[in-house]
Amino acid sequence: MKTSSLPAFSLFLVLLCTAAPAAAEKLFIASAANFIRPLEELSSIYRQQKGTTSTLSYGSSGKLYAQLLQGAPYDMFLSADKDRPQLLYEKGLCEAPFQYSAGQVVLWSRYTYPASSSWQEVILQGDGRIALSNPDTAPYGEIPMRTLQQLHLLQSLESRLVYGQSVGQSFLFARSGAARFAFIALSQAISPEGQKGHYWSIPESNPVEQWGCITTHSRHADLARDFQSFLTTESTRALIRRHGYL
Amino acid sequence: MDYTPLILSLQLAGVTTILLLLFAAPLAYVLVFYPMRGITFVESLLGLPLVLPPTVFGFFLLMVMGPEGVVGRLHQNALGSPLIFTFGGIVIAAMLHGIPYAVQPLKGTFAKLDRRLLESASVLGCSRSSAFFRVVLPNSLPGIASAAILCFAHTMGEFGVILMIGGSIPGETKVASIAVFEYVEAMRYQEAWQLSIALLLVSYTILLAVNLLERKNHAA
Repeated sequence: MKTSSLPAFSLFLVLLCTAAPAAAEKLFIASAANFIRPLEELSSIYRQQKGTTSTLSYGSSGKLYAQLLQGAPYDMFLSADKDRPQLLYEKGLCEAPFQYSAGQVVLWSRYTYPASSSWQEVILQGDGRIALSNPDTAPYGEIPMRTLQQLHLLQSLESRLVYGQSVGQSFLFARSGAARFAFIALSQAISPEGQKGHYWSIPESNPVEQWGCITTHSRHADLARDFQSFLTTESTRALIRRHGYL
Repeated sequence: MDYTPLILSLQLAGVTTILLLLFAAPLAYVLVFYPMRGITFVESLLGLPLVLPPTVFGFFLLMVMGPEGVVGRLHQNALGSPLIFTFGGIVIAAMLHGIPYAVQPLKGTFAKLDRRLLESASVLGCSRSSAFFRVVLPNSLPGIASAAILCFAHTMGEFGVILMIGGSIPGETKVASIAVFEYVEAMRYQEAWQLSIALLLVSYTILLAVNLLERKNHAA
């Protein structure tokens, strides 16, 4: 670099550093992967109503929980289970948990099977891999895993299981055809991508109670509380139900 | 403590290194000694794994190697079994991802070879392929060794691509890096520590052995 251009370059660097806009009030929400679609819609409605934008981060509940234990800077945690928010609450890392939805596990495939078959018939007839989210970290993997155990199906199916890191990856495995089936959330199955295949409900498995909480280290706790009450209004609940939640 | 993931990583790295060298050595030979038109396009293509994020690379592989993908279907038709979510599948992925780590050092060594050796071989009636095996390879052993070490090390550390296409099947595709990741995610830190330390020791031992061998070669 020529020496004459050095002052100009330094000025440019200084401007670059100071040009960042003053941090607007923004909510940082970490959500379980199954809740992506309703949450994106809700956050855009909320922005129109209240002018507050939110940054959304997704992963398996277990992964986000581990990050929160290490002080991840989320204002709100939307888990796909009841236990993890409760544990955070007991550790003093979040405020009292609240339930925001209840999801359902379904079996999904891009391939066609006789319409009258139940999920058990389909999965036992068909061969090929079955994608399941990591049961240690993802409630949407833990619940079908427990169902397979209770129905004594695990032993015959175990060799066909492949594990996704979250319910999003499990869906990708089945959507791409790499796996023949996937246990996913109903909300994914009725999404535009999910409608490119078929799903079977699993009456034997419990609903997935989804709880959330506001972190105690949040610097926008007031905003977060406002978003929490927004999550529980009747019109929000109706929207969440339209996405395949109870 | 379950050390299967560590053994699997070593197997993956070993198999990948051997197969990749068998494939990369002739390729590097052709690139160096028989450069044809448009070679720059091929070389840029071969360098892609250095630049592409493992997630992108893995996503492409998932789409191509699945039963609906071109490669996956060919494999299924030829051998009657799927390719994705198998040990063979992650070997192929690791090989493709490791190409530049094998080809670059090999090209470097081949380019430094004394051309007169090859000319003499040709004059003495040696064909191109036998010159490759009888002249080029024996004179390139240090370069082959460093290519092998790079491939092995890179494959031991392979994570993103296998995360995308492995499916984390114990004993099949759940290698050490994936197992550590899952232990950490599940907050099983004790197991994460044990496996990480084991991985560290194995890696260090391999590097140490390599460096000691190199020293001995230099001294000799």
